[in-house]
Amino acid sequence: MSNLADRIEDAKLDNPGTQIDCYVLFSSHTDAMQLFELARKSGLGARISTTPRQARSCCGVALLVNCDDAVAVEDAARENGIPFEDIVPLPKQIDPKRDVYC
Amino acid sequence: MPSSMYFDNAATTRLKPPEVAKAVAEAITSFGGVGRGVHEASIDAGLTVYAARQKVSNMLGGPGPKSVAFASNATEALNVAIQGLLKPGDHAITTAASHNSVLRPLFRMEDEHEVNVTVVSIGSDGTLDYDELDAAFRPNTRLVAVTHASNLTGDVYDIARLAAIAHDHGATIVVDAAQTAGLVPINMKEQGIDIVCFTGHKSLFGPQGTGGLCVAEGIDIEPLKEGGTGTHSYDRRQVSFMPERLEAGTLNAHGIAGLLAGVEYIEKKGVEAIHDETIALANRFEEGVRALPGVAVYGGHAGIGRTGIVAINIGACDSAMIADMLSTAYGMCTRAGAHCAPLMHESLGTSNQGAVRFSFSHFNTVEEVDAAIAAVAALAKELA
Repeated sequence: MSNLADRIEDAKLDNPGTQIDCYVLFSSHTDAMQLFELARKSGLGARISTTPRQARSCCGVALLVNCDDAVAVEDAARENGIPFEDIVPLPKQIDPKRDVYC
Repeated sequence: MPSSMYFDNAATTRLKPPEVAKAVAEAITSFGGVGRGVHEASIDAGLTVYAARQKVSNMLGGPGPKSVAFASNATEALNVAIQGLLKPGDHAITTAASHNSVLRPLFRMEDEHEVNVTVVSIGSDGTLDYDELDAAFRPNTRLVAVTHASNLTGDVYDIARLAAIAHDHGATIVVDAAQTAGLVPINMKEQGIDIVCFTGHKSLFGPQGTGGLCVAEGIDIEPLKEGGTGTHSYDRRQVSFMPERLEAGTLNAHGIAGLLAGVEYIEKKGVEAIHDETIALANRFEEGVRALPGVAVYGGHAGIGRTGIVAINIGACDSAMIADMLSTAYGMCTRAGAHCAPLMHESLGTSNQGAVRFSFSHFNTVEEVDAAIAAVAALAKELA
């Protein structure tokens, strides 16, 4: 796995003008809850999200974090021994107008 | 509010902190499935269950939230542990103080899975001979499954000593804490306990249908059940990591919300304070009835402590008749019969008569205890 900060920068360069979101992926739902609690208590922006199909992991639950906080969240997970599979930067998934005319 | 006096807390606690019912009511009208979605309803359930794992692990001195797998009660948890740890050719040790929730899974393993079981005897006063237990080990002894406290006498056994003996022989220790979790301090790390099985509806003050097991790090238990976990859906078999490894199917999050409220109540009040208040009531009752002619009191002083249980008999009277008279004439709820502890009754010599078990919680009052003493005194006089 390459350095997270570098991968975030690469994602920004590959998707100019598009917001990049970072998804923390897990094997276990319990790990997701633990990191969510920790992030919330540490004042790091995070919310529980579905796992995007592009970042398919074994757990349907991911943490969606602001990419500015992603490295801090990664550090917090490692320092507290919370297992995670990966942190994946992706172009913003949520389009409020998605499927409006379907 | 029920009008009867409730002295059957070793079966289930009837009086719960009010926040328990409130938590269940809120949960049942708002929760989704744990780990089955990312909407508000599912996240609320997930965070509540996660908080319950944290609190239970803290209370038991466990390794952390991932070590707590929920089950429907201590019996299910014990089945998970016993059936998940023993393999054909293994030997297991238990004691005659065990409840059927320990004995029957062990005997099933013996009857159907080529496991040998040794039951260490209990003295007629409730005493466990630790040297006899030490001598029962064989080279293939894999598991020691013991009760923390007898559900008949309330005697508390020294689980730290039992754990040390088990580990000296390279065995794993499983503790049935159905009668003690929330009432008697337990610290898995300090006492060296590998697995604690607990129920939610007794001294943790949660709803029926809750319980689980807390597992020390490095212990792998084969799952008893396989099924949905909300994760790894494309894997052919159950996941390999705790706690989901031991939890197939949708959790009882509504009940666990109540369990969390019960544990938080205990945290605020303190296990030691609850213990001391409960034991003071049990001691008061025991002192009151022990002096009565024709009344026999069993156990209570054979371990390193006691729970809120005092088991008695009046003369040679059928325990079921006494319990019935206490219920119908005095409005008192007790438990008669064998208490799912057949070998303990054999040890005490009460197999035929059974015993009338009074079990107090700290929600009982001194006035209720004194009324119970008076009722036993009246029955003893009447039936003499």
